[in-house]
Amino acid sequence: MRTKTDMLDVTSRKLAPYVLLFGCYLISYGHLSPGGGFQGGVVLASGLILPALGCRPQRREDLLSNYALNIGEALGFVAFFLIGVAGIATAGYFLADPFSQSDSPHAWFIFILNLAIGLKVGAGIGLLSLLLIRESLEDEDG
Amino acid sequence: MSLSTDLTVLLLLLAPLSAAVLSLLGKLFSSRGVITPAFILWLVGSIWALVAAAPSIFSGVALEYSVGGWLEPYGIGLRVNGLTWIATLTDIVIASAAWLCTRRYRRFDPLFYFFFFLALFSLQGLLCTKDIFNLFVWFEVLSLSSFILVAYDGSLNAKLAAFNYLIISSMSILFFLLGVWILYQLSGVLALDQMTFRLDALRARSTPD
Amino acid sequence: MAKILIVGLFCIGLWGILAGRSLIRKIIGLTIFNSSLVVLFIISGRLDGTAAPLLTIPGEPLFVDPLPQALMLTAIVVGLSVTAVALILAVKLYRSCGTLDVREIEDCIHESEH
Repeated sequence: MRTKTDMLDVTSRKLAPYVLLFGCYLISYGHLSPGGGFQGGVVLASGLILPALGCRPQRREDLLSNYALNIGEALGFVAFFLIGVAGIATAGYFLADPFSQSDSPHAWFIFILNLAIGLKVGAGIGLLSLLLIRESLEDEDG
Repeated sequence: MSLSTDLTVLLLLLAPLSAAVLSLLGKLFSSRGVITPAFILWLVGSIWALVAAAPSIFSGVALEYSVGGWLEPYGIGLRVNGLTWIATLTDIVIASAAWLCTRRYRRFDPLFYFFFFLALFSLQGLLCTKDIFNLFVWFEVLSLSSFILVAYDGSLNAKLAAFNYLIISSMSILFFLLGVWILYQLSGVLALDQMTFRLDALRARSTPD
Repeated sequence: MAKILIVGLFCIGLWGILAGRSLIRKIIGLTIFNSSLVVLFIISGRLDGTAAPLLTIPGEPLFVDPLPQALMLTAIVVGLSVTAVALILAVKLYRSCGTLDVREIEDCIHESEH
């Protein structure tokens, strides 16, 4: 039986918060610099995959819950959809900024859209990878 | 019965999409009763849109729609012309026959019909699109839902067939993407009609007479 | 230099898909093939200029063509979902047959039929 060493366990758990922080940075600066919802979301997901691969199995179950990720993914989708429909209701077309007076949307509107996309992508890719990892690690962990 | 141009094009796309959403709701609440209403919703919506589009199509005018109010060089355009109309009609006939077949063959659950209507939605988008890159995206959505439909049987044979289909189809769609790159480099646009125009101009300039 | 990289990635990906006998190797080949086209688009968009396509400074010098970047973002997302479906199919096949070799999986199917 292959076991995870202490070093791998500790490193992955200590490194993951910084990866998640970098993901949040990419999402929240998407309207000013290269980055945005999808890229930041993928980095968030890699912050979830890192402890899933490195930690001991029982710790992995404690740290990451499928239920929370499921809720996060659904919330992201619903938020994006509601913002889009709010555009139809106020300005007449999908994804219009409801509060903008001119043609171009506000920067904070793009920021909110990026948050919704980041939540959806991060939770979605994280969930997908976690399911695949669990499926393939079941034999190994017993 | 008459609809505005925008609503006709939207209805053509929203009919299969709302049928798919209805099937997904049926999966969430595990009720099989939504399958027939979803089919009827799709059928009535599509035929209504076709009937509403018919007068304009038969007088030779294509229906145009810009998604999100963004006009041509920035936004995504949709167009319904005569060819789209005939292809949609064929699509409706064949998909109805396929639906009846799935009902007769086995009792599939609503999730199967979600992917069925998702495939029909992407097929409709494929027929309406005006842009060569969106053609690629619709092709991919169509093939992703087809992979799942092929593997839905759950037998070993079906899974291997779906895998082989996935590899061959994804490889060929990447060659299509290479073609998109060549055309984009030559013409500088992605909209199909402008691309034809610019390539014709390019050919006229390069012929030596 | 970039051209050599793109052609190299293209050939490696194609060879991986065609000659690999393992399912995972085929999926890796597909991903490398996809990446070669992404690099091709991004490099061709960079020919106009090198600044990021954001209108923050008035009178910005030539910036990169943003369209290929937007297209490749979409292509990456699409490639990701194709890879996910392929991996799930591979896991299911491995669960049933205990091998990743395509020919052995075919033998396994023939045996289970008879």
